[in-house]
Amino acid sequence: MTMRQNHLSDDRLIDICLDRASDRHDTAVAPTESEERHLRSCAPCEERWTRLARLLADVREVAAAQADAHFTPDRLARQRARVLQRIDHEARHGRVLAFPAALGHVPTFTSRPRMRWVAAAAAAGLFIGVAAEHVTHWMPGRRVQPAAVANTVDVRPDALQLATAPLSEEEFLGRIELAAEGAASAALRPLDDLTPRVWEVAAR
Amino acid sequence: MAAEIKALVLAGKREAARDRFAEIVAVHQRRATRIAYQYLRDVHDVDEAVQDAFVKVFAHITNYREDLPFDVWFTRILVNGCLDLRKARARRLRWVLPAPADGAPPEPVAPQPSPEERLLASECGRRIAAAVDQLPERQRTVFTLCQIAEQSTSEVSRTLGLREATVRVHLFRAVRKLRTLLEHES
Repeated sequence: MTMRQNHLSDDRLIDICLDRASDRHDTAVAPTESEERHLRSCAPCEERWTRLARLLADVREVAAAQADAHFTPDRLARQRARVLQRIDHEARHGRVLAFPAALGHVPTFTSRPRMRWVAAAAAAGLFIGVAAEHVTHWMPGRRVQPAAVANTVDVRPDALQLATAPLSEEEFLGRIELAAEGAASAALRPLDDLTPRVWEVAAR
Repeated sequence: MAAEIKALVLAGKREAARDRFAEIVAVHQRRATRIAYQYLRDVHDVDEAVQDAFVKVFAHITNYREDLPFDVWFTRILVNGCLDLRKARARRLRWVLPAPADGAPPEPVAPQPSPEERLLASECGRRIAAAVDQLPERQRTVFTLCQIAEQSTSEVSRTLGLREATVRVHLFRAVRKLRTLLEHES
């Protein structure tokens, strides 16, 4: 047996205490007749037993008190209301939107002959427009001469340098005069004749 | 009552089932908060865990097996929820800095301390709470369910999916450890 010097061991005492606290007694741990007799007659063992039983009762009481101190009846009522509210909320199923395919037959492009004719006419118009533009562009009278374009632009490095250098008003106007008198600007001559000369303005 | 609610739900009478379920909530609520408090020690987490457990039970009431006591089924759901919340809280604490204490709204305090509050505030109450907190996870669970939720060892074994003998061993070790902790301190 687990007795020591006729007293019950601590472990055996715990076993018996838990067995008594349980509503379903286990024959394997239940106190034997001699142990019961010893518990009744031995004052030290009875005191140890009482202390252990009190300790368990205290633990139970403290654990319950800790929770009950926070969860007052009001708070429990709110909690209950919240549980029911959540249950109601979860009962409301989400609205399911019908998938577009389920709405019925949507007429497609190929199923409407009139639309096909319109599309074909638009494509033909586009093609004819592009072809006509090409033909007129490459006709001899309309062709732009690359040489004439090159003559109008002075790309010499010194010219670029002069253009970027700061000029006085006099110099600037003088250069315009020289450019206007050049051979390449014959087309601008009538316009030039209409405008007054710098020296004419200065003389007045 | 749970079987009746299940029958109502299966019959499509959801409103009636919900009203009956309100009665179940009222009966088990107090015990549920006590169990959850042993795991979480935080009023808001306890509130969340208990609410979740009840909502989950109602959502899955059609899976309820009549051969199992409702207590056992509900407690299993509640304990699993509490353990999940604890894990989530541990993860949160690992990665996120805690908010400053002065930013949190204080819990409303009753003007006169209740007997429970007086007990809790006592030195004895604090020591006992600290000792229970020191128990290993499994011992604490078994102890909580046996001693605080007042379940029998067979019910605890079904709740936790452990053999009854294993439950007894954990319970025995928990009590022995508590005794050592509390008697050494006193």
